[in-house]
Amino acid sequence: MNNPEQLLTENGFYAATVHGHSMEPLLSDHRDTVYIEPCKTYRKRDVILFRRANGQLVLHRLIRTDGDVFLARGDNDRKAETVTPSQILGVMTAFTRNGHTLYVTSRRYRLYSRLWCLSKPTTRLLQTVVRIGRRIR
Amino acid sequence: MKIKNGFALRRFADQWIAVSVDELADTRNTLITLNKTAAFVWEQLQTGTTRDALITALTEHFAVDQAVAAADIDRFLNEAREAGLLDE
Repeated sequence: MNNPEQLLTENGFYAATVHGHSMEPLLSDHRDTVYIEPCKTYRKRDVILFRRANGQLVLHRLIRTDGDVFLARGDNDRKAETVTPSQILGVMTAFTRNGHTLYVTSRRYRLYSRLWCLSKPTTRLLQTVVRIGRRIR
Repeated sequence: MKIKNGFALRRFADQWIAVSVDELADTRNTLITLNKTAAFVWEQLQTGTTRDALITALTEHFAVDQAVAAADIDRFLNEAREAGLLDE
């Protein structure tokens, strides 16, 4: 077997290609790769890999971490969902975007994740701008 | 010969990884960790090449002698062949 849980335990990391559009504009479907490492504490703005109750593996961003149950949402999604720490496999520490490797410690990324975790109206405005931008392109 | 389509070679810090582009990560996902030399060979094999060209490229890039390079290339090709990663 080659499942993410096992690889994270054995190798201390996991990497996979992104499938889906929920983390756009940061991560593109079938193009970008994420690098995941196990983590014990989670912070707001962390991008986490977690398993839903139905077994589906999801990569979303934590938008609230106070309390025992967290809230996570895709950068391109409007609805958030609850996540418990036991569902979380690890945290994204690096990713490739269009073939270039970026680390979550970089200034550019930190600015982006801050923007994306502002108030709901601001996030919606950003999502709309990105959608319009994509149509014009 | 050439590495099968559907893989992307990525570098994270000092780690080289080849990941499947199409497989869903939910249950299993082909993830291959490579050292620097193997990543170099993998890169050459992305565009299609021959065993002899690989040996020459390795001797030029890493300053190793022909015999060492040939042994390394054969080991890599055998492993890749066994894993079903080569198109020949």
